[in-house]
Amino acid sequence: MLVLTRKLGEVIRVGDDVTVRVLEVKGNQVRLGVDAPAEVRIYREEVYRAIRKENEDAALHDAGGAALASEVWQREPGKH
Amino acid sequence: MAAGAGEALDESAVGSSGAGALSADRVLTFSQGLIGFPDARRFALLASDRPASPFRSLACLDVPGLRFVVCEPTSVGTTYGSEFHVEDAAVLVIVTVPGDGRPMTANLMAPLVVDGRTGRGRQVVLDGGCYSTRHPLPPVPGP
Repeated sequence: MLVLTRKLGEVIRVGDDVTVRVLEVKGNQVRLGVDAPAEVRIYREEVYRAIRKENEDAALHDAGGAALASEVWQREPGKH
Repeated sequence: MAAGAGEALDESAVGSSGAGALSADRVLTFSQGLIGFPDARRFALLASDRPASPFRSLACLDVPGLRFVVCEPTSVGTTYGSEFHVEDAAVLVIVTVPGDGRPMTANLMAPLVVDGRTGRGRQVVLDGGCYSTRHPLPPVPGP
């Protein structure tokens, strides 16, 4: 991990196209401004991890797929 | 400034398309894959296996054997409002089917938004606090 120290208002550049600026520091909260091309996705890390985990839990690696879901859904009317 | 979300839905396109308009011979392309699956870019959206079933298989053409169960958000009691700005938008949510009998859930926080004309889409993150990654599916009506 590359560790840099920045003061309020200073900027970090990631690659050629992404910059991160320290906008505000208040107690243990830091407000950051990220400038990046539209195709670069930016996430809060915990949100990214939650979605990645959910995608991984949802991913099927065999032919069960939608047939399994339909059977579960119809097998237990009124509950799942 | 890139945000990844914050796109609003063209209301006039919702009624005329929706994911039901994505026929089973369409190849959907997610140029950046899905979150955690960057190489899974092209998918075939298969028809429901049963006439009354809202569930469809999204089968990956790039990663053999990889597939997801998806359905339209309305099937789980959700209508997205103004979150997406995509002409002719079709929205699907990924359903998690636990293998151990725990309830099925839908990931409403990260729906798949597809342009119905081009078949190009992406997984959009709505992390404003309104949506869950594990929204319980509504029960099937009894006989």
